[in-house]
Amino acid sequence: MNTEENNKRGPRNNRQVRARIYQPVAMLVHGIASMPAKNAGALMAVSGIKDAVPLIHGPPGCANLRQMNSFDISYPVRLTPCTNLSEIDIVLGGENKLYRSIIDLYHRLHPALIVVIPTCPSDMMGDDFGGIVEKAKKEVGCEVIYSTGESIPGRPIGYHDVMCSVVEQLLLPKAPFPKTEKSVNLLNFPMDVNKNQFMDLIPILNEMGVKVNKICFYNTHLTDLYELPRAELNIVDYPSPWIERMKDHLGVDYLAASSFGSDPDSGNPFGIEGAARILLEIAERLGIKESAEGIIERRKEEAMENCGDLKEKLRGIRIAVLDGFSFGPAITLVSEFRMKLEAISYRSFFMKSHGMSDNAYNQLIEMDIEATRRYGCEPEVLRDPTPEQELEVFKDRGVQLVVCNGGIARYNEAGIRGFNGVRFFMQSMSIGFDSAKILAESVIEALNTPIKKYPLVNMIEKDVQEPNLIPHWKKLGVIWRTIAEGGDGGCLYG
Amino acid sequence: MEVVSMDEYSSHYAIEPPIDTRLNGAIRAFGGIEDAMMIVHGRSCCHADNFLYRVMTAGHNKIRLTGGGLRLRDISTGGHHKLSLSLLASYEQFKPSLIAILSTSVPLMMGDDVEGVILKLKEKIPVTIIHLPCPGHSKNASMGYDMAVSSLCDYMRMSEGNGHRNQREINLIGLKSDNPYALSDLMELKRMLKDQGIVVNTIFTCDAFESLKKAPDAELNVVLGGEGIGLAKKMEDTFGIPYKVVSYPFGLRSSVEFLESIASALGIKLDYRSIETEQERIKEKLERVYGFLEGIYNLKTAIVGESGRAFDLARFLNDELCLDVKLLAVTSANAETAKRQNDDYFGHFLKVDDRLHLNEVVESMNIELMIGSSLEAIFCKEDNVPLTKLFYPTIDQVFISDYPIAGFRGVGNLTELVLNTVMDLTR
Repeated sequence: MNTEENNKRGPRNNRQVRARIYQPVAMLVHGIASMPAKNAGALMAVSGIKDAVPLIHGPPGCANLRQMNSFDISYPVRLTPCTNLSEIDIVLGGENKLYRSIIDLYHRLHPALIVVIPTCPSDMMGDDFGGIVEKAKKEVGCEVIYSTGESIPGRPIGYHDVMCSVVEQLLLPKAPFPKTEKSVNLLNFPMDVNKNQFMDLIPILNEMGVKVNKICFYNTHLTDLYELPRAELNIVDYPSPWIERMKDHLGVDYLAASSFGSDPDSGNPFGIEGAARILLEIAERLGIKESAEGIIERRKEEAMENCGDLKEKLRGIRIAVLDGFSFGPAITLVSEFRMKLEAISYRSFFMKSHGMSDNAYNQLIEMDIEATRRYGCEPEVLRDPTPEQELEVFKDRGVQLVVCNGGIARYNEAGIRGFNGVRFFMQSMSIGFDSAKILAESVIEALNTPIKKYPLVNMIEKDVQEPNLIPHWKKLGVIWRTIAEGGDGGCLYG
Repeated sequence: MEVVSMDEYSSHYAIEPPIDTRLNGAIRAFGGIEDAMMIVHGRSCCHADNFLYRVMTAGHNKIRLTGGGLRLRDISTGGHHKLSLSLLASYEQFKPSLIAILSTSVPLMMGDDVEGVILKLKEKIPVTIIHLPCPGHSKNASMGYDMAVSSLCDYMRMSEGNGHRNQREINLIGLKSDNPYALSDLMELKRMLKDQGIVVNTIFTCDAFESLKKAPDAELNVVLGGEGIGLAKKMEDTFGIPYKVVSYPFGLRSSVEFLESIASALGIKLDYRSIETEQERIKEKLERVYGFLEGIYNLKTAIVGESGRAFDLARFLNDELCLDVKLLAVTSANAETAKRQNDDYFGHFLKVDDRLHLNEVVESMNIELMIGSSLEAIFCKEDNVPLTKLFYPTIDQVFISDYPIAGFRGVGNLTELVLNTVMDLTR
């Protein structure tokens, strides 16, 4: 990784600083009180392809607020042109406008790829996207594909439609592709905070004799997309429909690094053990397990050695965790650095706002408790405690650090330090042998950060059950959940 | 004055639209009513986008906007059930005095009987419910604002026992509380008016619904920059209240004219001594930056913003701060726009229908300063043009201090903002 990339991982990176400022608001607009829908997801996908331009086939109302995207609030989307459908078009059909807009957009911006994104009005009108795109392609010097809106299930909605269209409309017509033996693609979401996720694996993969075919999305252009099918294996954080299609149609199998909701030891890719497990799985899938095992073991030992001092500093420090243990930084802090888990506090509002059923939520808690026992912890488990109850338990158990999702001031006022685990997970948590070290250093930094004695933010009234929300936000959240649950049960994606 | 030809880009089919829809205007109007609740009845996109902008431009504790939560499957069955849920939950949680349902494209294409839902829930929700169709193809945010505030007229009445209008009381129409510095501007306007013995009865829209209902008590409606003139005309027809369209008071000259205009309409004499005191204060401030004022003389400037404030800002920047306003680009037009687009305090006028075209026009002008919103940030960054954000939507700044940019106090503050933008060493 070059210096520029290293700098981007540092806390001083402007985009990271902006992202952390916007994080609480992102939470509000992203599940608590509203739900970004298909066009936000579609635009996120298109924004990951540097020489692609979206074309929103709809009225101005579907495009004019698109410069801000709920998936990446801190970074505006540069271009969101639309076909400017009018009332007359909605009656007579918008196919002619779509055709002309594709040609017009090509001549104005000269992109390598135009991705047509449908909207609710154009879907209801029944415009023939496929036919128009085929016709327009003959008139322009670039690729044109169309998204299917929200017909592909999966979250984030709209994102998968664009990526499946990439596979089906761009790659499949050019199949078969030559294969590069023992090569992998490293695939992540095209959000800035996510793009470094697999970077730490690259030097080790190289040493193992594995060629990194493409990192996507990372300065990805159309030509890079065409190269994707050459790899033997896609490494992804989660399985997704377009990855499944690459497997089914283009013969590129995949390995999902994360598995939310499964056994924490086999589903957590983070930390030294997690990285070793992923690397071994890659080696096994590529048929190089025998030659790679020694390299992985050596790298693992080096990493553990590098963390030796850090482990000593963190061992036995009493922590509490909010909203879940098995996924994210907390489990690594306990399993690899032997921090002592004293309490877990669950607040159900956020998870249930995302459509999680009581049953699934209870299963997650049971799984967490089981995992804590595996590491010799007997934490006190709190379910939807009041802020006072929670603090009382934390103080009784001598908690020194709370791994939380914001709201640190509340703990600081009680003399307890906080570490924003969600922010770390979103911005800095990567898969590789260095990740545990970076995590440990960040936690030590949090432990050495002076306690804020008189936080102004504590003057602001918070909700009793969800102390990260002001009562006003909570009310908006309750309304939104009422519509979701009362409507048809599930969450409101789509 | 050159009006940039529309023909030049009317042939473009793919456009980057400005924020100029009826829905946006209506949300900004109803959003200023402190005890109102808004429901964007439509798919998640319509709600989420507007919610996000609301969160970024209004106070975090002032967002009273939710959605209808329509999903794909609701298109075949209708959105009545979810709208009912949304209405009931909104009433239950916030106990608003007014609920505004803003229907977007999908329920309108489906033919949802929104009025029927309102009627059905009348007993359970004993508050005023207004329904406004806002499909995505309906352009013009100013029109949306106008339609929203005009709809309030139906609920107004004079206070009981008040046989005559309150002397020297006015309503302010056209204030948008999510504009940058808007709340400070409002305080400054009230202060200026109070110094002249004029009281603000109610503000459209930055007030409670109950207060707005008492608007007919005032002697005069003052329409800022032409925004919400439909309400003023409707109130004139319904209650016989005259109205006066005034400039948004950016700058010294405009602030004096603002007061003169209102005083004249009310038939009162202005106290010019207080105005002289204000002028003296401004002079003292400007003396401290004299050298820099000479330095920015004829700085090539572009202004991109809504008609209701953009013309008056252009006038201040050109006539008083002595910048060279090369381009006045209006993102949303109101009834005053056509009357003013040939004024002489800017070089070119452009009604922005396509932001891609706007960028092309600005690029050709070698602009040295942009006055706009956050939406100009990417262009300005790429073209290395300093940007002062004074228009909606400004989503990367907060406005919690008492820092008016309008009125007498606004003169120094605007000057400071412009100077600090162009002088900034970190840019």
